[in-house]
Amino acid sequence: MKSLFFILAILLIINTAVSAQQQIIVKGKVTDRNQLPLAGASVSILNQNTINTDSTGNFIIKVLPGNYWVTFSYMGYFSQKKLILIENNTGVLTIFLEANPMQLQEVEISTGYQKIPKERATGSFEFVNQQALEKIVSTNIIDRLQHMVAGLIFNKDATVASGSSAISIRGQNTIFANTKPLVVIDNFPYDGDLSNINPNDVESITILKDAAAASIWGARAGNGVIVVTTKKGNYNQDLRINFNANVTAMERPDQFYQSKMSAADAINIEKELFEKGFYRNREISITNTVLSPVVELLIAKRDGKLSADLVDAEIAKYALLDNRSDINKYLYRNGFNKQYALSLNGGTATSNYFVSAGYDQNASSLTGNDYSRTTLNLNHTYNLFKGKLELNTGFAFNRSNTGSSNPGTSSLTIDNFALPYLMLAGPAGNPLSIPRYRQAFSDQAYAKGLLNWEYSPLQELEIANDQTMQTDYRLSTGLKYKINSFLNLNVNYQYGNTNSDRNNIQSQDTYIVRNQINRLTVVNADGTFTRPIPLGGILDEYQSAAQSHNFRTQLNIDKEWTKHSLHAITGFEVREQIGESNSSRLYGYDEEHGSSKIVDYVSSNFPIYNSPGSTAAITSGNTQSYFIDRYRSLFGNLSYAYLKRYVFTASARLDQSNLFGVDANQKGVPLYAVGAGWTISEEPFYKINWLPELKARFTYGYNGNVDKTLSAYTTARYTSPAPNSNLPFAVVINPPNPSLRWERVQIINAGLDFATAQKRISGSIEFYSKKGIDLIGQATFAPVTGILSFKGNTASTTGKGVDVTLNTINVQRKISWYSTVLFSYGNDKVTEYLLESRSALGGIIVGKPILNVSAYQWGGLDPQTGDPQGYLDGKLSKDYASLVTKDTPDDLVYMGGLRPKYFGALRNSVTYAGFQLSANISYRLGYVFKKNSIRYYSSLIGAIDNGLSNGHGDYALRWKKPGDELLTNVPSTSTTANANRDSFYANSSILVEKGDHIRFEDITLNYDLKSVRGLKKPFNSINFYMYAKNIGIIWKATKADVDPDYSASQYVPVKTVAAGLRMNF
Amino acid sequence: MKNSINKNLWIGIILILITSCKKDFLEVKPNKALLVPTTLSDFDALLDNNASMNRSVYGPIVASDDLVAPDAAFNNASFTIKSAYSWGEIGYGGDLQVDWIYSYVQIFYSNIVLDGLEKIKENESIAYKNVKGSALFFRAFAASQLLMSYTLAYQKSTALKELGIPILLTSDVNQKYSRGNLQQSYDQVISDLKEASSLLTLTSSNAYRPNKAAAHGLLSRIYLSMGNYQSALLEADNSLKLSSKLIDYTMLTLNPLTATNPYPKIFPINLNPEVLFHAGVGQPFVNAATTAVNPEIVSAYANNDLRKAGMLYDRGGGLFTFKGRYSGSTVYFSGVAVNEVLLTRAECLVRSNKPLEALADLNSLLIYRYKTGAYQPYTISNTPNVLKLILAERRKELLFTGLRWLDLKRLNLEPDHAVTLTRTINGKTHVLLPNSNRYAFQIPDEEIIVSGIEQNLK
Repeated sequence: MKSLFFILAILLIINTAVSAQQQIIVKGKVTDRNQLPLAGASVSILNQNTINTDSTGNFIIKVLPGNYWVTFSYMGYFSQKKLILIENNTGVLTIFLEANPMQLQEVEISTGYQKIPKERATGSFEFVNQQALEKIVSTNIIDRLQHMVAGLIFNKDATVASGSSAISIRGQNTIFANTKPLVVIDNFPYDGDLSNINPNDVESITILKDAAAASIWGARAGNGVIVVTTKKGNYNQDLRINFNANVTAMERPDQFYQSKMSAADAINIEKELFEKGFYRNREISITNTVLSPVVELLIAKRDGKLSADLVDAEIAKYALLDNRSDINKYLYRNGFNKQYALSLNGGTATSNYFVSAGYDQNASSLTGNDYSRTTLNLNHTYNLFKGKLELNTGFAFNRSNTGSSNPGTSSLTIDNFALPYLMLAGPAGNPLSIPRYRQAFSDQAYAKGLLNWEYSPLQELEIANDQTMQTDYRLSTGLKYKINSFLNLNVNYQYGNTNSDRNNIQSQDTYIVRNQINRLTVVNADGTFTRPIPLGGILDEYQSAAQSHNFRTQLNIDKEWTKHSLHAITGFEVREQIGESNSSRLYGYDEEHGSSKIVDYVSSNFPIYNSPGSTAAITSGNTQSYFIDRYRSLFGNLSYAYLKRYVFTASARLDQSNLFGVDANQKGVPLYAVGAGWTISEEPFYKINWLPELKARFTYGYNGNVDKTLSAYTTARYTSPAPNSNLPFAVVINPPNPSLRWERVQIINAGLDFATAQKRISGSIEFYSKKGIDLIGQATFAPVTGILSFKGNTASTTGKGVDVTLNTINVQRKISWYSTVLFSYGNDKVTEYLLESRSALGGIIVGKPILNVSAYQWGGLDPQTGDPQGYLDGKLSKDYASLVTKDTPDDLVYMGGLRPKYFGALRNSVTYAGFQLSANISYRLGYVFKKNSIRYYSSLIGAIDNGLSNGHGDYALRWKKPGDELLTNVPSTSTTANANRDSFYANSSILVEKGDHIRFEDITLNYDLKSVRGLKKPFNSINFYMYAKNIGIIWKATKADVDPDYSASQYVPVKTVAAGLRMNF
Repeated sequence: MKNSINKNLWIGIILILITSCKKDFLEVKPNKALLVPTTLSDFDALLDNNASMNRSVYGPIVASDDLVAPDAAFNNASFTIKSAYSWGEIGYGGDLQVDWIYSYVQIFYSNIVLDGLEKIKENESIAYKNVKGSALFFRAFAASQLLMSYTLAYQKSTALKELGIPILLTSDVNQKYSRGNLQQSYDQVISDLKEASSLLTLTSSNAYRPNKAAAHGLLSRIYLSMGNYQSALLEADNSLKLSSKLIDYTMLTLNPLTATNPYPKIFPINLNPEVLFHAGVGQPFVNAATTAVNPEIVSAYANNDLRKAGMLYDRGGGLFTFKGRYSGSTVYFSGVAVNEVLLTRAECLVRSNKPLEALADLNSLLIYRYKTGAYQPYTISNTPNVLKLILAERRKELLFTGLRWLDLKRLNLEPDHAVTLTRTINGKTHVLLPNSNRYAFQIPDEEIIVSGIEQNLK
């Protein structure tokens, strides 16, 4: 208790005299470092008499005069034991308690329905407090959860299957239904964009992992729940102002991260292909398919239009180029983020308020793409009728602007070939063009008076104007009425509104517009032009709006007897969410006057200028959609404790929704969970002194998930007018399925919470097992039925796992050192699946994780030819057609899951004299990833192109002569190469690598001015902080030169450094 | 301000309480665009899904001798196209072909409509009958396309032994089925079309939907392919009685040097009087700048024949690309049109020993195909073999509609008209003998594996 962090201040004020041997009344107040009152803190004298502070943090003790050991304690704070002399002139005591970063579990967790002290919980909750959240600098609140809690994983680039969630809580429990955890803000689910939430407004986050914790959220809890609690004001507190400002500087993305083919290699391939007549079809094509500058030169040389020397010299110049330097210079920059947040809060005895404003401005790594966000938060609470009634109103507003004019490198291709010599600018910085049609053709068209048909990436960047504005606000009101000492009635309502408006103004100077206009231009006999798409720009507008109504009434029962205590809630909830979206396109758009021109959408007979003989229609781009989701739920939750050490919980919920085309009885699903907790260390027989806290928990129950795309009846969907007929039409989206049911996840969770003396080591360990029941799966159907596959409740999964959290106080002196260790193990597998997939490559395999990798067994390169070899019936084979069709689970080598089986983090914090240094190291183990390599067959073109369109740098490492097979595994180019040879190599075991790695995630340095020098009014605290992120990989299992989590990304997340200041006064 | 916000919130609460207590709170559709098809207009909308419903098969176009592909084009083609074009060792098919899938999607949609119609009580209205007739027509059209691709030519003597194709009659995706015999398949198509022809209206809302004349026309095609000339004649007659207008080529803007399609639009109003029902398929390989029309056909057009300029685009070097698609787009037309029905009638007439009437039909077609005043009508005296002439004209008129494949199959049964097809690809000669098993494409493996129906012989 000698720690420097324990600031004690006792103010003595002369008080009224009391005669000796008479009890003296002493008043006091317990607050945190920022003088915020701590309500409900316990003040215990001689371990006999314990009282709690009231809602304003004040307490009164009545004792005989003398010296007393008084212990002040509060959840999440270091306890203080003080020897206090109590006598007549003892004044008002003021006790500051210092927050304990390690005592994360001693908190009041929020389920979105109620707040419960952790001791009363039986389920698996994780709690992240404000201090932990403030350690990380980010625009998005969810980013701050990374490596904070066990069991929560961020699925990075390589491990995110398309459409699945970026975060998972205890693995994935569904195959086709929603994979995203439910996010709740304060009381209600939030379906908007999470980047709309200002992290500075967040007080804490609770993560609900098991059935007992999450089943109160019923049918939407299958993927776990994240409850975000925002900051509120306090009663009886003077005005407090918090200010936070920070800047984040980013490294430029590394364009050389992925191995790319050199210009010299690409040109050599172009020459080879040219010799083989590869470009012949394109050359004579009536569609004027574009050819690269090198191929044009080769044609000129062949046709004798340019001398061989000149052509060779020109081509030699191209061979020295590498456009990644230009990409780096012109398309990317050092990103830079700024964040400001200001909040005011305070309160009187009958009301309190929290008001905040935030502004973020981010300049993304892509030059010209910016993001800004303004947030506003108003929260008021009124206490009426002497505490009988509490009224809360809230207003949260957010507006963001996103500029996405820079498309990155995707358009730097010629006829699907990303040629490395396509520079963006000339030596003098002048913008260069990339041809989109044959050079002669576009020149000729231009000469005839058509618009310029060249594509210049840098000019496009200048004139592109693609902006999205998003406005989001929530209005909420809540009433809490105290019926009697143990009954409370809560009524809450929230209205949410989100609007997004994207305007992509493409002026006539943009390539896309020039191309659209030119494509349908007809040159008349008299030299005039007929332009079905008029001159002027094209405005594409996408609008979407969503509104939600949430209403809840809830009855709370809180009753305590000497030995028993009962806490229960029950209620009724209605939720409606309406979404609408429209898109429209205006041709001939004049930005200055906002005018546009009419075009003929009906005709499909406009001749295509660049493809004689073909005709096309004008794309309308007008669409509309509308959805409405409704939920109606009944819920209840009960917790009963005996002697405060035996806790039983039960929770149940019935959800109903407007699932389409399902019989009324199938619209609802009842879900329940039960749990028990036993605080063993409170038992009289418990004698283990070194482990003063020990609690066991066990829960069992069900969460649900829903796939709203399915229906029990034949359902069809109306679709926008077909381009041919302009008739609205309907497509069948669902064959009848009378036995459709909701998905359910059964979860069993067993946990142990413990702490050694003085919490030197504390933490929890949890084991869980999950069973996905009635999961939506696919089954193959023969084509004659009219459908190819059928989705129904045909799949099931199981999962097992362990979550461990350990907090240790290693050194606690002048220098203190704390550690947090997170460890998670999760192993899920599919146990039932009806689709007999023809290919097990990346497909669902019974007995393996949902996301997995299988591969062909690699047999090395043929020493004579450099051909890849596999195994057929145990013998080396190059019969690729047979090799690639042998792809059932039995034929293939199972390589592993795509998501880490073991993961976690180690955070170390060292404090000294106002400095706090904290560093985070994460690890992800037990998974594999697929490495990219060269492909000689292009599926895009449908022909062998010797790897030109693929462009992978492995080309340089390919087998070229006998003996190379000892040095490389990259197959040779081959005239007999085909798609199967490529598929075999690309899916062979040689390209599957272990993903295991350890990463230095981030480091934070915090300097607290107050604890060093003390502060004068008006300042309560001033903190300076620095934060560096994405520091690098410390160790990885693979020798491949890629980051296992970003093996297919263009570049890895950039290193960032942030610096900021936080003030409180 | 604050009070008014609160007031609004309370109104919201009250509203939601009232609405949520209503029984139909959960009955609202989650998505406006969704429907459980129950009404006539729902069924109409399903049949208007022309991307699925009006799609025909492309295997026959690629495999027939309408098309020639130089080695370069062949080598760059997909595996499926290669096997279709070369009548390969493995035969066309094996992999998952869209021809098979789409035809069965059409049958599935038709069955959904037919199943749904049963539940509508008011079944005497013209609209009801027309939707039912359309669904029956679509089912029969899809089946006829499948018969063209996946079965051997129909012969009365063997039809009970020859394999047919499964034609499902309800939308239940769990039903068991087999291929049945060829006779059963043809019987089903004929009965569907007969019923359709009695239900359909005289005109359809647009060319993507069949009318009465189209049903009779398709029926005449089916009978012709069965060698039942008498019934084919009768049905062709029924069709032509309802609709017999032809395009006058002298009225079209024709230019052999541009690839501009000369035919009038069929949308939104069908301005091409010949099109009775539109179906078609896009095929990049057939459309490619490197494949060409069989020179045999190109040289068969007379100098004054306007079809050469209307249907062919001269790429130079003796290469011609087909541009004469009645679809007016890049889609190869293979629906039902008056020109086909007229030629069918002409052929049936000559086969019924009515050469004079046959020539009259032929002349009535060709007079619109030649330059004004340049056409010399055929007479008995200047025509040594009327049937051969009609078959030759049929080839010049109906190229790239897929009908050539159907014609090859049925004519191969007659020694006089049988053809052995040969193709030289990369120096190797491929031969397709008359009545070869390869005239019936291989059924996709997926189908064989999952449902276990019988595969065609290679």
